[in-house]
Amino acid sequence: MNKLDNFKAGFIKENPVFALYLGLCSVLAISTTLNNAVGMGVAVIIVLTVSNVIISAIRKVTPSEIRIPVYIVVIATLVKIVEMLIQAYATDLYGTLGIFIPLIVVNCIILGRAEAFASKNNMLDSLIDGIGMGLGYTFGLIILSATRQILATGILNFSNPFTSEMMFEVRLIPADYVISLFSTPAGAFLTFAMIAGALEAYKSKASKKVKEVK
Amino acid sequence: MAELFTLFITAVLINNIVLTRFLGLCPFMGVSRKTSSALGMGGAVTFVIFGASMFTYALYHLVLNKYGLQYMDLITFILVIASFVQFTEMIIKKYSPALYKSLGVFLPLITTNCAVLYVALDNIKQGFDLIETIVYSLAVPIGFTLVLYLFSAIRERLDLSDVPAPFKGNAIAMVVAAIMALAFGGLAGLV
Amino acid sequence: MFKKALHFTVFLALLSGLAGGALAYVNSITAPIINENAIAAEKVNLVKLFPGTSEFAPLEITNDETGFIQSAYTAKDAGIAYKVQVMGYANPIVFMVGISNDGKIVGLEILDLRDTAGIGTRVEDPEFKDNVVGKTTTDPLAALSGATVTSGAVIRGINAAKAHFNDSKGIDDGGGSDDPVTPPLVFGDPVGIFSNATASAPAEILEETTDGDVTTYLVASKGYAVLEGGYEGAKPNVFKIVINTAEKKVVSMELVEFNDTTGLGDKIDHEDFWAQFEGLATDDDSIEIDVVSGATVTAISAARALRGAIGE
Repeated sequence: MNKLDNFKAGFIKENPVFALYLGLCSVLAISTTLNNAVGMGVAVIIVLTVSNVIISAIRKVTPSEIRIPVYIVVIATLVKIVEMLIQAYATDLYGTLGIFIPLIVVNCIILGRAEAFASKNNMLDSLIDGIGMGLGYTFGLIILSATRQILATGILNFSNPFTSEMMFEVRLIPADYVISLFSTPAGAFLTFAMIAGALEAYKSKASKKVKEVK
Repeated sequence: MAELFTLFITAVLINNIVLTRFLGLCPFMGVSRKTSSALGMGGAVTFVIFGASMFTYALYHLVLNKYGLQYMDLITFILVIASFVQFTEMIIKKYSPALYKSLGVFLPLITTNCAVLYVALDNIKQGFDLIETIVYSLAVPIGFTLVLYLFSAIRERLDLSDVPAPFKGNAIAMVVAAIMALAFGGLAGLV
Repeated sequence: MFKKALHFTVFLALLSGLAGGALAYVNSITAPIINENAIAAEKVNLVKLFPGTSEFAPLEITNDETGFIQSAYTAKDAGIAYKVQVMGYANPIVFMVGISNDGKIVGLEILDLRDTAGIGTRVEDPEFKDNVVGKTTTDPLAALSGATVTSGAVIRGINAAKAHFNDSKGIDDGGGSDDPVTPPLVFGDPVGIFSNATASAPAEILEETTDGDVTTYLVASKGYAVLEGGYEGAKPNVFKIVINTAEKKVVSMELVEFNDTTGLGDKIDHEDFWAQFEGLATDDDSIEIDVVSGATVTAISAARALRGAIGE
């Protein structure tokens, strides 16, 4: 598959969140605001990309029998570094994401990509794959969080994580009509189900079209 | 004593790890539709969470905290968990090959089960002492097993129903989870 | 086989060593910033408690048995500020209390309060702060009547801070209880026992026992629930009144069965209220008692009960 297709697939057809159901734990828990989505998404992109590159770099010297612990050490170190940086420079984000930052270590996406791709491809391809998958994850996360935030509070806003200033804020639904269910766990599951179902419907329609053309 | 009981009930029902904290979802979605394997999975997870928590608790308080190496917590905890899962795998393989076969690939995947690392980290974050750690690291996986069992029972029926095509499989599972979360939410006033 | 195992071990050890080194490096850069942030977050409140001081340092709390104290900061040459978290009526309450080096509470800042508006939120009013600020670390603190759960929780938290302060400065606080004292009763207007207020809804004597000069009456008197609440199955309050018929004086009065609103009407069940009845002359038409502010109807039901016992 050429590089561009690979990159595009990570967004819709093989979206790690809604199509592959990977990394669900953090996705559902923190998807309450746009800020959280972007913050977590960027953290995952950084960890995924850098770990892909490092694992690809050492793939020829890593003994196959101990590759899983090796990947784990690399990923855990990167996550901890990212956590310390967030704690120091983006304290608000650290407060809202909380314990889910260290849980990036067990995000199946990262370990999965390391095993499935980075250990078998060169550094440049691994870099692109990391960015592509990471962006797909972030994209899925943003869709979910924006939906929940708008339905639950009526507002969509974003504040700079480093300086805590609000960058934009827009009210899309009047305050009296918000459905606060969407900020609860039940609402998270429900929104996820709707989006996943919609994606599935889109995919089957698309493949039906392909079949008809043939 | 009362506080320990409250801690237990809260961890199992009110702050259920799957339905309110969203952790441990991978086996939740992927585990088979049979209630018997749900119980087997739940048992394995309980053993891993309890054992791993004991080791990580000891590691943190006896080594990392003492020598100012708290920043090594993530990397050491996950390695302890990975080793403990490996150890559990060997035990299950030896003493119950049937269970080993039915759990299949999900057994090593317990390593990446968010719930395990979460409990290990949470024990430290909440500042629990040893007894509280024991209670919490047993209560959380019991809550997980409970929900997993209920869910697999529902799924047994669900597979025989007429689910709309786009929702078949995981999306409808999420809807079921949403309804279960609502139901469990009603337990909030319990303690 | 052995060579392989050695190879693996060395590889992992090397990798872990590198990882540890990278972590230690990043930690050395970020840890001081994180510390600064921690103080900065509280700095606004620290300055409110100790205006005029600019140097603060975190203080490690090790001997807090209550677990209420979240963190503490020393204000240079001024005192200690404690950040406390307690459980309120339904939600946690977070506040900061400043204690000056000479053992006085100099400030109270409520940071996070989500209890009932108009009731629990009264701890943010000057009424409560005035009760607390200025007291020394050995004075007992009283809760707010009508908001006892919230104010009691806050006071327990303040007491925890005081205990730590006294402990660290070596002040002996007599090992007093950590719970708030009962707030003093706030009296309202006087009501005459034989006045118009007690004329309606006459009380009913349930039981009368005479033992020489002393007669004990059990009187049912309609209170708030019956007269104003309109609740289904509302019952009157029952009082026990002891009268010395020879001296024509009320000996004592107490509440036997309470059927009005808990937390409001039962404010009258306070020794200061009952003390008013002791010694009242039963042949004097002008005897009167003061009602309790916030529990007027229940207080009047007590007066009515006495009127019923004495008779016309």
